[in-house]
Amino acid sequence: MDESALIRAAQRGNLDAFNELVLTYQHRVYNLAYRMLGDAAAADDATQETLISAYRNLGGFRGGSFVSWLLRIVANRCYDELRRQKRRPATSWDDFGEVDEEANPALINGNGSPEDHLERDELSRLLQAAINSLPPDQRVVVLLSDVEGMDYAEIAAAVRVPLGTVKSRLARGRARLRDLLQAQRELLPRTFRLEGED
Amino acid sequence: MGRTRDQARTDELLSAYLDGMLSPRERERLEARLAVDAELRARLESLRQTVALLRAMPRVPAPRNYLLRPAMVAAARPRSRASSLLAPALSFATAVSALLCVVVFVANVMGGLPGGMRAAAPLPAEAPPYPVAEAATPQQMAVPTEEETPSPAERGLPPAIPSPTPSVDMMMAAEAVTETPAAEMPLLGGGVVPTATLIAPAALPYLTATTTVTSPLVVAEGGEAEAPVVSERPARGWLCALFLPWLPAVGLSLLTVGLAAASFVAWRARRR
Repeated sequence: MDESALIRAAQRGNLDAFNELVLTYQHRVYNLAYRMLGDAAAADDATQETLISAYRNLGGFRGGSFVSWLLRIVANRCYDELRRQKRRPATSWDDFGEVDEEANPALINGNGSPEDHLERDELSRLLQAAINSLPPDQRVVVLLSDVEGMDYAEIAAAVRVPLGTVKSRLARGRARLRDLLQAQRELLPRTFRLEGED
Repeated sequence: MGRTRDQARTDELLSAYLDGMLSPRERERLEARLAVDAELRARLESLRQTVALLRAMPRVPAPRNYLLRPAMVAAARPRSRASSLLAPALSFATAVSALLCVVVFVANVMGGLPGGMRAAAPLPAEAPPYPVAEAATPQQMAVPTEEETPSPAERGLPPAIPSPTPSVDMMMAAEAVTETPAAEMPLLGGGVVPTATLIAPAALPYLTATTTVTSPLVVAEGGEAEAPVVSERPARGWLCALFLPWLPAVGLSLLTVGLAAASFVAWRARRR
């Protein structure tokens, strides 16, 4: 069955059809939840809740990209969660190195030599720590754009803000990440050190 | 880590440039600046590298399968399109109801001003649909005399039909006029005079033979008008006339509150 047939069957209450879609997209949903929340347990909860919510609201799916629709749901759920946590101070750049890597060994990813592995792992940790330090409104836009590859219009629809707001939040988020990474260049693996602005 | 406004604006341009989201004119101007500004080029390059790093981040695979089981979704069947539209529909109904409520409220307030009470006095069901003849002024409240009364021809009315003896229907119609709540209006609204003149078609010969009755007067047999007895039900009349016009506003207010509560519940259920 192709995706649209699975969606139609799921809309009629066929749980097996929906689970086929879950198997296809659960990794992307979880990845975005993890990058947004920076915590494996929270991402696990958000993923499960998102998929249940998606099943319940399948009647509201009006066609288009199903995975974008799922990512929109998980992004909004994580955004709400981050806003709820707003009383807690945002992760500081000083917390570098305290990313919950052991809770998610899957962070260590990719092929190559052990050195490559280490470098990639280190880079992933540092980037996640930098992302965690972004305010939620910039974080969600940066992730949807640069991790999930959505265009401005899709992001605007997903987070329900005007296109101009997406543009400015994305620019501020990227610039902030750049500044953070440049300020800690010596922590970055040699091959990934940012150039410019010495 | 604070950045100036100019830097922020520059970063916005550079970021949009990387995504190909600048207008042709903006792109041209930025490229002209890049051609001569090494610092700006370095800034663009570092931003490009940051984006490249983000895009190269390894995906974090799900640590387990998130397959839904029937028990997990037992109370969560996929909602139909109609039910998914429930919350927006309720919100729309709430807005319409609130708007109507405001309109009715304003109409009532405006109706309380001089000359505005006519709309607030409903006719009894048994009363015939009397046409409004003309507006009256407080001066016209006085019982007119034969001398003051213009002739039908002067007033542009058809000549009176001679009717030596009023029929029972005519008398009932005349009584109906006196029974309308409009007869009690002079007591309300700080002495506001009702301006609607109600003329029963059946009683027209009497009225034209005597005068235009511009206040709730009873046309008595023989063409003499006497003031209606309005003090027989004063308390009840006051209360009815005071509160009846507000009933629609109160009803709409309650409806609005109910719809707003239903919308709130529907939106919350939808988010879950």
